[in-house]
Amino acid sequence: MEVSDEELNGLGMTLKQIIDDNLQNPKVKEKVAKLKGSLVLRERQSGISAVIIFNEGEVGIRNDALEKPTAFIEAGFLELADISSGRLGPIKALLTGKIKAKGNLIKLLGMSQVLISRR
Amino acid sequence: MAVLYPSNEWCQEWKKAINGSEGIAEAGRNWGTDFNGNWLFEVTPGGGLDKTTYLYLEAKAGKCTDSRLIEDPTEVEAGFFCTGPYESFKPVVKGEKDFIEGVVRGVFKLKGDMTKIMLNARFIRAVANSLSTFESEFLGE
Repeated sequence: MEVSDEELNGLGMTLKQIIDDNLQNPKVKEKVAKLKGSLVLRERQSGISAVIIFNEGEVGIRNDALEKPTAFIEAGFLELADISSGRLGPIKALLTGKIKAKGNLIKLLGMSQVLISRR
Repeated sequence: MAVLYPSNEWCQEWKKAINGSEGIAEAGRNWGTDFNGNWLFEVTPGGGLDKTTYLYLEAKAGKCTDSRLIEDPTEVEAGFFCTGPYESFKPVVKGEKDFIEGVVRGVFKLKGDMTKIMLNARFIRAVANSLSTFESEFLGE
């Protein structure tokens, strides 16, 4: 990851720990190696955002949103938690309106893999 | 009768509130069963609190087994550590602000296995919500 802990907001810190953990899994690492783009996540209640940047194997996380990310998700913390813990699939979350998404949805589904725990 | 936050009496009331909630028992049934689910809260001065205060909460399988103030944070082993100013904890204890939102905003710094937090987010929210189910009084008010 390219940003130190001290610089990240609480959402970014939370995501960073989850992504670091998930990248230990070779299957996730393999999927990430092909991805290039950015995913903005906004937590609905607080309005706090973090952006995950994918650059063919390198994954970085920063505070705040980008103007034109590859994909964008807005969700409440509990929905993010459900997706991250594997209880709620990202496709189902989209179809049932539990999360809002914009941008390249195919890439979004690929990028969201770094957020889903394999433990 | 209102109990002073923070105090050992307050910790006991919190323990009672947690153990009296069916929602917490259900949401937290897997919490701490195969990992250290205990919490250490570091409340930093301000808003009437004049010295850093540590609250320890032992939680396992949806129940609280111990809750007390401690002098030395090294005397306990907690899987989760949360630090924040007294002024920011007050509205959470009053039920005016959401603990998870405070974590997302970075008002409270949380250390521990975030995968466990995500897996048990409803338990965390329910435990935080239990803070306002009994009457508290506060320093500096």
